[in-house]
Amino acid sequence: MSVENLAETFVELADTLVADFDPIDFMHLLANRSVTTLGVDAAGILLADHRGELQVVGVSSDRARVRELFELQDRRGPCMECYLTSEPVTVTGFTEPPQRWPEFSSMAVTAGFGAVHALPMRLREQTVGALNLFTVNESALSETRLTVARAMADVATIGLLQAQLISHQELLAGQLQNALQSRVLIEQAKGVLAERLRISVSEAFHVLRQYSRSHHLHLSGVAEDVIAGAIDMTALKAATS
Amino acid sequence: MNGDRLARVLSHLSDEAAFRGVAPSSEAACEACVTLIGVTGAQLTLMNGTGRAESRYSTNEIGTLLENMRFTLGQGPCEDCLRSGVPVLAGVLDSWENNQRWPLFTPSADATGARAMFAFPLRSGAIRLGALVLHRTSPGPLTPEQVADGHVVTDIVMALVLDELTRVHLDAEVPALDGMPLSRAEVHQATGMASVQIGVGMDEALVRLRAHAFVRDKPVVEVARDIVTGRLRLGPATEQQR
Repeated sequence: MSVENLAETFVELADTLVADFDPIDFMHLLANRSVTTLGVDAAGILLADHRGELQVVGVSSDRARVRELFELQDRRGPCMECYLTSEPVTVTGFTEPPQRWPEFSSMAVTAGFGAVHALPMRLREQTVGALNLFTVNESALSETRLTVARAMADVATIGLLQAQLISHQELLAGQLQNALQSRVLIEQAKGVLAERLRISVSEAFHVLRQYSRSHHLHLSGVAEDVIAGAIDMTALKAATS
Repeated sequence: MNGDRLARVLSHLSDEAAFRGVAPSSEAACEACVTLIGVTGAQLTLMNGTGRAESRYSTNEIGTLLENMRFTLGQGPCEDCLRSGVPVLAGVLDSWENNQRWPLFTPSADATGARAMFAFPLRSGAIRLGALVLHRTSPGPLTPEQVADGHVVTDIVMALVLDELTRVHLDAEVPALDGMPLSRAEVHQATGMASVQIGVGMDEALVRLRAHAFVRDKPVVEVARDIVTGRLRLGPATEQQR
């Protein structure tokens, strides 16, 4: 973990925190940056919906096995524990019994991981979700890395809620809803694109990202256009190559 | 806490429906949410397919009047909620801000006796079916608990509306509401894929996906997974393949 990399990460994150802001784009950026900055192998950001179930809003890898590992924690697992207690949760070693979350642990092993960290995303007294970090290595992250990880979880929360704008309940509810709905929109667009271009859904996500980046557009805006059929498929296809 | 809220809301809705001697429906859910959340009335506005929203049901006269005003004036919490797809919570309807925001709607709504309005979208990504609108004749915000209940009721109403659309679409036995969330990534992805395969909009694709599952007595998630992995394709012919 270099200081340059860290500074660069925060500058990049701060750059996205402008008025015209796409929460899902930001969450994916943050997940990817967590991997490079913290030297972990996979990162995911999970937000609690109004049911209190955790929804995956940003992942560093779209590999089905990794995604499933995040999704599996919607009702129980390290992330849910972290969300409910507002405290960091660490599990190192998934093979040694007893395992508190056996289903989760065996899936983590299958996916090739040795340890997981979950860090709470907090705004004042409210916890809204958790940052989830997986490593192949079976040992816990160093204190230094964990401190940075905590800072990244804080940035994620502030980014999402844009704290200075949060003066009352309605805005908070609206922002969370917006982020959760954007995520649904992107999944639907991935399906449309996968079918139209005859590619897998994870390739479809890659295409969406490439296209939105090269055209400086919001991921959720591109997703909306894909669903509405307002984007030329040949232009999107160009993003695959 | 997880799932408890959903279970509690579902049991309240089915108890109310049973007490009133009616089958669970979006209308019955509107009636039940009035007592559950503690408001004066509720009203359901649905998109009619041509891009216009129309009233589906109202539990009282005030709700009907508020919906008529939205329809004629094109303003208000419900209209904003339909357009933005996010909740619009107006705890104090007759405030300075709301008079600026909805200059025609606010004084007319005030005249009906409504003092607070809360609009929740029936939405899943690109699928926007309408809004559930609650009102109270006394001002004041909803508590966080009430807001959370409002979201859960809205999800249930959305599922019921989808069921009703499924029944119209297909003569299938729709299973009793089980509160099974549609929030899995595969379901959204499969909906997108099915919309291209069948050549219909996202909302109809979801209805068709659900119908396919109900007819075969399979979980919706399982059918979604089959579509995403390419084991199943939904085409115009699938309806006959029962």
